[in-house]
Amino acid sequence: MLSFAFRHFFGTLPAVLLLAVVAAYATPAGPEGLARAAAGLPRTAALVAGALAVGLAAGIPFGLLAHYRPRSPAGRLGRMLGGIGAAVPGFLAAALAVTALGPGSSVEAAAALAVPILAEAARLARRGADAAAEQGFVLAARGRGVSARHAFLHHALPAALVPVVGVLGGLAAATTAGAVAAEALFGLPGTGRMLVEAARAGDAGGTAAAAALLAGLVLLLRAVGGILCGHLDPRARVG
Amino acid sequence: MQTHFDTATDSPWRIARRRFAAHRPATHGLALLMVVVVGDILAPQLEELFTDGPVTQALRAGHATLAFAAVAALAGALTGTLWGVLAAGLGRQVGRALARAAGWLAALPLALLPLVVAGLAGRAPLLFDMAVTASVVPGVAVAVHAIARDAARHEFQAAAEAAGLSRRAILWRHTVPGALGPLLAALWPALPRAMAVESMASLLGLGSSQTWGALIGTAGSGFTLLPAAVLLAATLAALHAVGAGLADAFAGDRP
Amino acid sequence: MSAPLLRADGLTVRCGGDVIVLNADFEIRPAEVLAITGPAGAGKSLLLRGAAGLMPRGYAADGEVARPGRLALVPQDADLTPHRTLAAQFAEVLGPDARPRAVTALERMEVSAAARRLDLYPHELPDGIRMRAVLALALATGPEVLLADAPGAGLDPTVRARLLGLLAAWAREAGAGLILAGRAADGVAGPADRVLRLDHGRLGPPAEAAEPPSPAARGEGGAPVLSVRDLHVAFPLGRTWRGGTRWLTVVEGVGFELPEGETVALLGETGSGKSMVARAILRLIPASSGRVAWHGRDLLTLDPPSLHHTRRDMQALFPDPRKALDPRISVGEQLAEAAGALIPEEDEATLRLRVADALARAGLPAATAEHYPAGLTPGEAARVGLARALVPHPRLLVCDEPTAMLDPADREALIEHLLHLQRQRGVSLVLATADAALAWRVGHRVLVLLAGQVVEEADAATLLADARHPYTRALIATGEGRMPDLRGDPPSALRLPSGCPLRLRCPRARDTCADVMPALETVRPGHRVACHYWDETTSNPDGS
Repeated sequence: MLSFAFRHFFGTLPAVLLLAVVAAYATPAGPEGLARAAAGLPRTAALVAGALAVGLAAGIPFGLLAHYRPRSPAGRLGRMLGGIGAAVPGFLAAALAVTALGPGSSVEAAAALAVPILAEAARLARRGADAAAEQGFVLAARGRGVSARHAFLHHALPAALVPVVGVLGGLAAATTAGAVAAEALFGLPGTGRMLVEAARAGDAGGTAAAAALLAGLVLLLRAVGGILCGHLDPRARVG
Repeated sequence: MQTHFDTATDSPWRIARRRFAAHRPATHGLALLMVVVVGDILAPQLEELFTDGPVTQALRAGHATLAFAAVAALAGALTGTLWGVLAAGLGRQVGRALARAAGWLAALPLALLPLVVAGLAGRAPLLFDMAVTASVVPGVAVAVHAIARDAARHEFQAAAEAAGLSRRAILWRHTVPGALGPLLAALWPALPRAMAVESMASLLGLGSSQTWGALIGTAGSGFTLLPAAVLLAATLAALHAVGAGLADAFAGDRP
Repeated sequence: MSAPLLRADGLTVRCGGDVIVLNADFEIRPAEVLAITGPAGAGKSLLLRGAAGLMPRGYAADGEVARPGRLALVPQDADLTPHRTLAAQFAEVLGPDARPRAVTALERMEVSAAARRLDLYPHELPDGIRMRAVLALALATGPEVLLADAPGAGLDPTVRARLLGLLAAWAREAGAGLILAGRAADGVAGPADRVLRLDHGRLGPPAEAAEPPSPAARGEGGAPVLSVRDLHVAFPLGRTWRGGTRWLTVVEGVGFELPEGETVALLGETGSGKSMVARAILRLIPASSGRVAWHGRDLLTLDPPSLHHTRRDMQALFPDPRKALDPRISVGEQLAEAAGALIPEEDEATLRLRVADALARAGLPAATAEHYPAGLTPGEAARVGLARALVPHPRLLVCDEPTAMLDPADREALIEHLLHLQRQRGVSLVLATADAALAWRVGHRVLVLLAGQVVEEADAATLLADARHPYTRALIATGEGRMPDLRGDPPSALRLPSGCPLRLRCPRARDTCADVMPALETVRPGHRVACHYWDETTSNPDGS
């Protein structure tokens, strides 16, 4: 398991390093642009990670409730949430939040970015729970005496989370893009805002550096998602 | 077993249409979409109802947004389809390399592509168009590759060969037409994706100046951004719902 | 007479307002095996779940069920939880000291290398082992009553029959009650002491047992119209580091002669190569070497135009009839297309007559031409496949497991139809099947295939009376509902054991079997066997 994690992680590292090197040395502004972009990366990473954490933590329970208690209010909400994810992508949520709350802290930005993640997590958690219920192993466990609660926590739940964890990579990419917009709108310091400013100014070096680092961040988050996926679903560890 | 005989004489297209109609979010989405499109056509007339303000601006901007997204999505869909088909058909080395490249690119935050292009190469409209198109291509390529790869594996091809049909006849009269439905379902998401990418870039001032995204970005305080934002959100949700309906209608292998 | 362990009185299963099972009464006593058979969708699974007290959402079970303290249910499509190791799943039900009891339970279900397998994840175990593990998990809890719903349903017939036999043996030894549910084809009636049938919602005594079909009469013989010699089929797997190609051999050295108007049955389970032989004969897949002579001409080296012309004489039936049709095009159009492709010289009107005639000969109403494949029942789809094959009036029908997806009534109808065709029009048949009873009934000559090779071949009657190969004997036992003498699971085609492919499962295996691959030896004229120890006489009816 650990070796899988290492392999997965180090598999993406060369690509990231290559991007960074290209950014640093292929453009005239060069290494200082890279340094500036790197300075803001931790904040951007925190924003993205925070949005992901909040969105998943809030969305997954709704999705599960949509499957297990479909008629309860929370369950109904869970079913409706699935559709709105596409309606309000990260940048739109951020724009609406800025208008409503004014330029604010990264917490508000993270909350805004978490909205589409919440919706997608609810949709996928529900789908995962539906699929897990159809497979034979939950009933087989109950059939041999495993209690309903234990069967849910240890058999159905991990299986239900597999689709959610499977799209973590895609969610990370979308959230990073949204974070770029959020930083620019909220006025937060970070690599995202640097990218926007560089693009507006036509600064090739800054753009390349910021873009490379953001791409690297996404690849890293994708690797983390892959590791989590391998943890939940041993079949994913093969290849 | 009753419905079984009722649908015995229904062609798969009719069945797909019925499944789409049974998919409630999809029909709502389609209705909403039609409202938006009709509203866009009737925009000049509607403008007279509202005094010149954010609502009329939003109505006016709808045309540019929809047209742009449609063109970009079409170009992206064609390119991506070509890529996916080549990846499936070109044999082991080249094909697999193409597929892997598509997968790797699709993992990146391609929505940032217009920003990167603006920073590296300037603000020319053509470059912006190409950047938005490029942002949807890898996703389409990955989806089409999967369809093309599975299309060749059906049992009826062996049966058709035993029944005397040539390989070429099987390909063009059976395999390709059979893949059209799933292909449509796979290509549709390029439309909302193109719209979202364009809107984000325009919102940040790095894209078009006449679309909903631009209006949201240049809106002052308060509720001026609401009409455009509502229209954008509604259109995106409708497109997504229709896409879900298409995917459900053409989900293969149902008895 | 001991008290029943489980007793159901007036058990009624409903879904909303619909009644699925009405007033079912049954009971099970210690060391007894009860089988509940019935067609698919009759409600057997719901009945078992109702007896166990585990109804799904939306269903209710009324009536009285007196259950013992410890009861286990193995549902249909039961599987292991993918993200937990086997050991963890045993520990969950057995407590911390689970390992020795787990190994005992696994060995009881004939899982080899049980201790090693405990630490693996389910996806690392082959299918057969996973199925056995699921059953072992249920057994290990020491239930007083075990309810098993179609256990081993997806496995090969000999493996499934063995599993059912092991379950029954466990029940009798442990004094537990075993209730098996399944369709008639799932073989659950074999090891049972009592059989009940669930049909149209009512549980009652079973239907009259059908007469075991007698083997086909010995054929007339005569000059062969189809002569297959030394057929080899191999697929390339990739390149070795030296630049050569690795091959996976799926058919090796298969040959037979088929006289006109007779049937050759290729009998074997998954991986036997029977399907590949059938397709290679029709050149639907390329053969690597060998000779397939149809009326004297070698089909494998025929040029494309002549091959196309010959296709009108040889047609195919496929295992999944609905998948063998293009879902987008109506039945009539597909038949017309086949007619036009095979007989291009005829005009359209004549072709349309051919299509209507073919539908009629396959026993379908003319209106079927308007239907689409999705709207056909499996039985109708099988007949449409037959109609398509009959369009050019073929002399040879190569059938690749044509009844695999059909329920008993449809299967019977299709087989009767094929036999009728043979009797009336002298059509020759090559039938690939895993069903031993079908092979004896239809085949004049039977070839038993294992891992791509012929391991025994003879006339049907001779084989039934005096089969010499352990595999054939196991297949015969399975067909008659007895527990076969073969342990374990078939090996994967990519990793065959050295020497005889059956040696890891065979009760007769000895050292020679690992060293030398047995060659076909003659037992009597027309009867050959590939086993080192075929001449060991045995009088034990179950083939040991």
